[in-house]
Amino acid sequence: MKRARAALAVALAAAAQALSGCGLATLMYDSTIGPITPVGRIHELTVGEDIHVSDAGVQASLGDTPRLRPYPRDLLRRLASPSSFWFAAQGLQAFLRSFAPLSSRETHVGTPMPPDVPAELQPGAPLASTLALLGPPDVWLRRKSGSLMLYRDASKRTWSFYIGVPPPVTWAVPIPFIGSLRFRYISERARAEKLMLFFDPSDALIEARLGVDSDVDSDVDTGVDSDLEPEPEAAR
Amino acid sequence: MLRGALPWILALHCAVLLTSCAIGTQRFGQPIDASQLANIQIGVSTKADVLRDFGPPTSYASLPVVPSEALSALAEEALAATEAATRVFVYEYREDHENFFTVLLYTRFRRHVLSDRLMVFFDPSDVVQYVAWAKQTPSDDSE
Repeated sequence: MKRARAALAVALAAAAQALSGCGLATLMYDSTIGPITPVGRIHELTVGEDIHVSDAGVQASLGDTPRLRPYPRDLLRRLASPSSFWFAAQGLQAFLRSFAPLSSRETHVGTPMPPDVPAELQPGAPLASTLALLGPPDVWLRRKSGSLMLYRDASKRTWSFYIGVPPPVTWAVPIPFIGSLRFRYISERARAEKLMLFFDPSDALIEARLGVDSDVDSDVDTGVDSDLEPEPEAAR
Repeated sequence: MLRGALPWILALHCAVLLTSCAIGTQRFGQPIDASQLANIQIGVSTKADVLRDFGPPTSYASLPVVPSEALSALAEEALAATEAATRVFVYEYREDHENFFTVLLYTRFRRHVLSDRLMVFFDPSDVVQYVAWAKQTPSDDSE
């Protein structure tokens, strides 16, 4: 009996090691099928990033790493890379925001526009000097009749109110449909400042106009058994 | 005295435990070396010069073609050839500044996206036609 348990433990340990990207299993993946296996994709954390498939088959740029290794390649370095913590923080933020009773979110893309149109942008100003003055435009539309350039500074503010049983703990409350009893109110305000430049077909400035989008508000009330939420809009 | 203050101390302790914040900056691409901009001379510098000074661009775009009346009459291949001749090197470096703060019932999230962009326009003979540069990220001195 004891021997059977010990065998089972060894088998489990061997299986765990095989799945972890160590030893013989990894050697097989590296040399034969790469990070994509019949059971799916093996995470690059276990097999390494430098394995790719080309016309010549699976290519592994292992450098001086031993083919048979006790642990995945560069494991510590990749676990400790800043992007790992960044994604962990993003996940934590999303989790907390999902049931925070009060939350506000603000996104700002770009730097504020000047209060007035720059004095250099007089009618007839050439395209080259405009580009040198303002930098790359966000949008450049060219037509037969002339072109339009757009510089933009966008911001979006959202605040929300939520009351109800937090989604992650609904399973712990022994009341049917308790997760559906919630109320969420979301207010969203998007605003953009734009500098529009109109050019004639010979790329000489016709007019420069500074505009501010009137605030676009959208209020969303969600009642019982509803979790409607506006889709987050691309910042630009 | 101490007994009466104990609940408050505990409440304060819990409030502190339920408070968190995160501040981070995510960077995309390589910072653009603005000191090299002086090397780009309109009408003189070539694609090779720009590549030597700034390296491979983040993206390689083309300006929209404005077909003339005569060109419109030609076949589509001619239009495509014209389009391919009008090229733009785009260099971009972006920083996403994020901060997140939560205390008890309130959560605040703020994101500010700043980018440095350099666009170099080439004429059909691969000579620099226009240069556009804008820096939004804070300079190294202020960091």
